[in-house]
Amino acid sequence: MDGKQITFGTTGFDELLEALREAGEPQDIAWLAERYIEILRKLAQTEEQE
Amino acid sequence: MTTLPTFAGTPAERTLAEQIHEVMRMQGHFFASDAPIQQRVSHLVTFFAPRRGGDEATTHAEINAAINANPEIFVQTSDGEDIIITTARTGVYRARVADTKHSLQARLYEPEHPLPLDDLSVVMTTTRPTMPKIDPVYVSDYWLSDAPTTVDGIEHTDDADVDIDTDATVIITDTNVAPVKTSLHMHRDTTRVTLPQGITIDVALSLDHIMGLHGEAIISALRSSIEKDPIKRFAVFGNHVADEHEVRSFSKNEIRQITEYIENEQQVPVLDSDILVNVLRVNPRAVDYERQRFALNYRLLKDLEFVGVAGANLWATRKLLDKIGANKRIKAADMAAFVNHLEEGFDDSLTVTPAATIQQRGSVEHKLTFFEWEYGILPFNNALAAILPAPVINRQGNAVLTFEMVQHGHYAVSVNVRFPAGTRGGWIQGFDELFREWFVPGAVITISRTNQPNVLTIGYQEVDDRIEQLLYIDDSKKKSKYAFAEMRVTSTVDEDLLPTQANVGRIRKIKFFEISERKNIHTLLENIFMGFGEEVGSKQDPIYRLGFEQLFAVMSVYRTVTRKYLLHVLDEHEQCKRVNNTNGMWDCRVDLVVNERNDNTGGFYDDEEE
Repeated sequence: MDGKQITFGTTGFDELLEALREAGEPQDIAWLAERYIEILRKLAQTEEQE
Repeated sequence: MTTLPTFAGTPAERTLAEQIHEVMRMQGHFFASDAPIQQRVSHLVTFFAPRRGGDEATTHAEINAAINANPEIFVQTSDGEDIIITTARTGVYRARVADTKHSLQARLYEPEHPLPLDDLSVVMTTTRPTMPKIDPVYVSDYWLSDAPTTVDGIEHTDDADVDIDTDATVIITDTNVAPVKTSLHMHRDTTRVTLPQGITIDVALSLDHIMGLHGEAIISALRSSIEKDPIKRFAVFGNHVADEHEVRSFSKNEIRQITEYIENEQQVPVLDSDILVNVLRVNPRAVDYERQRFALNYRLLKDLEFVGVAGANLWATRKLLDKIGANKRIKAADMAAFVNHLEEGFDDSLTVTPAATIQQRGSVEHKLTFFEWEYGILPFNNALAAILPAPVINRQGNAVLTFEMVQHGHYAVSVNVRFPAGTRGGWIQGFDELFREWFVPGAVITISRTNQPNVLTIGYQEVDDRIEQLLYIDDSKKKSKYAFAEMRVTSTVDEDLLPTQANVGRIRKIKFFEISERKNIHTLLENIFMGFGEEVGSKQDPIYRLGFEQLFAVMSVYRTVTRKYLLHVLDEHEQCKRVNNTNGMWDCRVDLVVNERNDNTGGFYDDEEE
């Protein structure tokens, strides 16, 4: 996915929720922000490789 | 004005990166702020090596380290012989991509041999259609599906990388650095994501790097997004987030039990841990204790009032909260009007002691004004905010804190913190009894943190007792009025703020302003000038002269005010001006009030007559 097509705060939220579910416990927002950046990176780089 | 970038790396790398950027900015001094400025690393080495007193190999390594530490600012490309770095005056160069997909030029001239149209009349007609009927315009399928898009004459698709061939000659202002002519191939960066605040981050960089540079902005944007999530998938309480579906709910009966426990049994705000153990019977050692605690706090937001602070999640009912620090003499709207200037940039509480020092000490000194003493209120200024615990949830309105007296350990009061919101200032109410019991107006008090986040202390420096005739508000009759009574001074006081007969005696010659009437600071100002000022004008030109500090002391009797705000009001007042060559004296022309004073029938009362 091109970075321009990524909407921060919408794109990748399902994956973020999945990460939160896997953690099992409520998580700090800073932790969540880091996971979200990783998810966005994965989305952007997958497209780049394609 | 050019905004300079912030450089990353070790201190030495940052310094060198800054120097490199400075040289390159000089190079592109007359360039547009976002135009690319390029330079070869080898030329930079030649330039910096003699200046840094090192050999070229060492300088080369240092330059490489500095530019590698700042990949966003110095984009590196290679022409096979040397590394070429590109930056811009603003710090980050972004290749400009011309969107010519729908340009008239492209539509008219490309392709050279367009496909034939079956019937030209479907797209072109010489007959003007009858208005207002609008005929559909048919567009050839060719334009809808097969038309190529071009950038600078190079055919490409939307998803492909854009190669921009910019043959640019870079003009070097320094003779030691030779000009570069290079063909630069910039690739559109697909890993750049723009935050709602407009900040662009490159998600391909390391997590530490991204969070170090834009951590706060990212967290803030994410918090805002998950709170606005239309399908409420996230549960947020304070700084913690969970999957909403995994957060347990509480029955109506459980909520009723919690409400009764707070309101009837405890009659004070109760900690979340207390509710879990004593109402919901959750074992503090249970594996899922923290999950239960989060669920309780998150679900109670709907039914109860959160009045806690970081480290102490306290819950109250609305009925209970209304009783804490209740002040029937001042409405919240009136008080808000008295403190709004704090949020409008007129808070000067950190002028003497900066916030960092207050936080380090864990205590702050405050001089009680008459208004604060009389109504048991403290303004929520920056100095107090520096030691008070922060609110936990977004848009938190209240918190309940306990203040204990250092010198009288048994004595404690619960106060209600009204946090500032938007442009509305904040304040703390509920000190009425404490202030009257232990202090006089003008007392110097010290507010300090304790080990418990929701408990603070008030201390004072004891002095030899003395009795003073001090101002108070006499509410014994139908109409309130200012009066003087004997009070015992046992702590250090600010003599200027001490409301003695000598300092503020003339206030009794001014009309008693009800709380709602004190919101208009100009009316108060004119009355104080008239009541306390020295007449320096004439009957036709009624001008009164008053010192700023005395004006401040009298104004502090009526309402909350800062020196900065008062000075602003004076500066803005058309009828007031600073007296030259005097120490803080002001002249104000007071037309309206002087007439009332002269005929003695206006709003001024004479205490002697009553």
